[in-house]
Amino acid sequence: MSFAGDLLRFRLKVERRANAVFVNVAASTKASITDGSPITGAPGQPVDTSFLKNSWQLTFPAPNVAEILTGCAYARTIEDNLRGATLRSKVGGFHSVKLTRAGFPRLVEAANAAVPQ
Amino acid sequence: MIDAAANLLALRTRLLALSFAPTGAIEAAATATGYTRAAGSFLTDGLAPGMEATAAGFATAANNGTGALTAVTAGALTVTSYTVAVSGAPAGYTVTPRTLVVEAAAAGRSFSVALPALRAWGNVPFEPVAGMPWIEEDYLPGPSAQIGCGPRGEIEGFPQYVLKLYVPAGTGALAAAGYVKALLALFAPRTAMPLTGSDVLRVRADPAPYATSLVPVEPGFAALTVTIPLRIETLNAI
Repeated sequence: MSFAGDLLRFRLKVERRANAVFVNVAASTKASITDGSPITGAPGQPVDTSFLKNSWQLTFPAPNVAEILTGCAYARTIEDNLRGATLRSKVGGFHSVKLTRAGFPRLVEAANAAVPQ
Repeated sequence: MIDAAANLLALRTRLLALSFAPTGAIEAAATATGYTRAAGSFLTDGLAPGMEATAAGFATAANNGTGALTAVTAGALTVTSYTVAVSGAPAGYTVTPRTLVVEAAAAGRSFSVALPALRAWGNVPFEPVAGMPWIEEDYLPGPSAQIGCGPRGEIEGFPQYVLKLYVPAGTGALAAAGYVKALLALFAPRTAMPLTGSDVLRVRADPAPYATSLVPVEPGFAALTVTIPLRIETLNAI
């Protein structure tokens, strides 16, 4: 045991924890958009053919960067409930990205609390 | 408790105060197709095709009122003039074309832009009119949580006000940009809207209000969305 060893173990513990929180936040953010979340109030994506919901992808292009993307052409019409948008699904709804963004601090709090000390 | 109706009415009250691109009192004339000025610039004042401008100060009543700008130069506005009245018809509004009357230049005329007269309020029948900008609202109640202690503890809520602006297709990007700039200024971060009692609805600073890009939507219109994140604190009513 040494002071340097203690510091190293502490650094590794902090890094593991930070990484776990980061990954959990990214996953819960994506889940809020696609499936809905009681934390953010987002309803999730409506499901007719599942094309829209399945189009949302979470990627990690760099160690500390997470991207949540969709290539669905009508995703924005659904997100913004623009004129012409029709909700035919019994699940999901509009504005999930906005609600997720507004509730992001609470997603971080929840992800942080879920990671063991 | 959080009162969604009170929040919505406070937001609408503020929204209805939207006013921008004022020319101030200028010397202007009316033509059969619009208005002209010899000094100053409509472009510099912020007017752009696709906006709905209001003219005032003309001696002939028919020259005062709203109209959609179809072309704007420094010295001339080309306008499709109309009068909008709320009606019980399925479309929600009655739009009556108005014919401009030629009137010589004189001082004391003014032009400005306000909230489009056609407004699709939540759950109210509405049909857009070709060539006229219009606005649509969505109020999102959002999540809430008790953050204070005890049965009368404080409750914090995060509603959002989503405004969708539709401008006539083919009029360029400046009209929408002008509306967005004015809306973001009207709902600047930390703007407070007092409610009944001691509750105050505030515009959030993080995330602050933001707008999307302009996209073509149904035939004849392009649209963008302005999202206004809000925060309200109130007491639990148990």
